[in-house]
Amino acid sequence: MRSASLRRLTGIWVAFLIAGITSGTVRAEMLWYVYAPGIGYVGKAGTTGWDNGILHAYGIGGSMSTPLYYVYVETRIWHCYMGTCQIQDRKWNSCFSCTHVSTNEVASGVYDRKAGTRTVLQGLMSVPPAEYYTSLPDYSASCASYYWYGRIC
Amino acid sequence: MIRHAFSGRMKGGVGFLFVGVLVGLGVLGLREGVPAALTPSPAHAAALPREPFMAFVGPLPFARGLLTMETLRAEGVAWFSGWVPLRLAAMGRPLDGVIVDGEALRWMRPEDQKWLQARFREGVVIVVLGVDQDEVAPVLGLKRLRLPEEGVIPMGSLEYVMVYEVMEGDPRDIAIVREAGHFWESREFQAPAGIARPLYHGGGKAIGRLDSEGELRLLFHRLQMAIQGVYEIRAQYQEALRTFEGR
Repeated sequence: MRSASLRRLTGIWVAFLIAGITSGTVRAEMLWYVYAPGIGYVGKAGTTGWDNGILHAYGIGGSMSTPLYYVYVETRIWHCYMGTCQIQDRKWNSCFSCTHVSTNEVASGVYDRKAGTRTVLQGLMSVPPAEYYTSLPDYSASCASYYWYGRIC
Repeated sequence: MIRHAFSGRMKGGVGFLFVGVLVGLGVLGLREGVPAALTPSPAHAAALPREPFMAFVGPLPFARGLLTMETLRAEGVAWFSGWVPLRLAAMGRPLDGVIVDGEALRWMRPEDQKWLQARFREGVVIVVLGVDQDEVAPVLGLKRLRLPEEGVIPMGSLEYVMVYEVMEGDPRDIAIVREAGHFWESREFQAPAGIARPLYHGGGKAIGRLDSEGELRLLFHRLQMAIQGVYEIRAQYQEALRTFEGR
C-alpha cells in the first residue's frame, strides 16, 4: 500500500508542478514531522494548490511511514459578504487504519479566496487526536477561526 | 366434470387476484411513483470511465441563467425530462453525476426521492439548480447542508449547490461511523473506537452561480473533479483492504 500510495502522492505533486509551471503560482504550506498522538513525530499536514484566477487547493494529512488509527483532512474556501460568511467549497477525506489521505480539489473564484485546511491525526484508538491548520496562500488562513467561521486569522 | 368446474373457478379466482394486484400496484404507483427497488443501479467500475455518466433531469427545452441544453450537450451531459426515464437509463449504466433542475424536485414522487437518496449514498455527485440548500437537504435524507457556523444568504434561481458523499468500508464499521455522528450535521466528528479494518470516507459541498461563463466552467470543473475524487476514494479503499488482508 505504501509504495502505491507514494506513487499516487508523487503523481499529485507532479500534477501540481505541471500546473505550477503553467500558471506560475503553485504553492504549498506543509508541516512535516508533526506529532501524531500515540505514535510520535511522524505526521504531516498541509495545503497545496495554485491560483490562476480560480484558487485550486487540496488538503493533505497523515503519517510519513506508520499507519495511523484515524486521519481526517478537510479544506474549506469561505466567502464573506457584508459580515455574513458562507462556505463556497468544502471537501473532506478521512480514513481509518491508513497512512495518509488528501482531499478532493476545492476551487473558487471569489475575490477574498483562501483555502484553509484542518488536519486531524490520531495514531492509536486509545489516544485523543491532534489537529493542525494550514492554508493557501501560505499562512493566510492557517487558524481555527478561518476554518470554522471564515474569519481572518 | 366437478374437478373441471372447480379448476375453472380456481383459474377465474387467480385471474381476479392478478388483476387486483395490478390495480393495487397501479394505484400505489400513481401516488408513490415507480418503486425504487424496480430500478436498481449496477455497481460502479473500479476505474474512472473515459466518459462518466452525467445526466440532467428537468424541463425540456431548458435554460437557467447561461446554462442551456447546448452547454449540457457540450459537457457530455445526457438530458432526461422525467425521473423514470433517468432511473431506467441508470439501470444499464451506473450514474456518476446528476444535475437536477429545481423544477424536477416538484415532480418528484416519494419513490423517486428514495431512488435519488440511494444514488447519493453510493457516491453519485448531485447538483441542484435554483433551490436553496436548506430545501435540498431533506431531499437527500439529510437534516442540513449548511454548517451551523455558516451565515444564511438564501440562494436564488441562478445558483446551484453540489454535494456528494462516499463511504467505503466493512458494513459493520460503516454502521459504527454513522452511529458516531453525521458529517453534515455536527460541528466536529470524533473518531469512534472499534474500527479494526480500513474505512474511507469523503465528501463535499460547493455553491456557485449560473450567470457567468467563468462560473459555468467552474461548475463543470467541480463536477468532473468530484466524480474523479469518488473513484479515487473507492480505489484507495480497495488498495488498503488488499494490504490489510495480506498482512
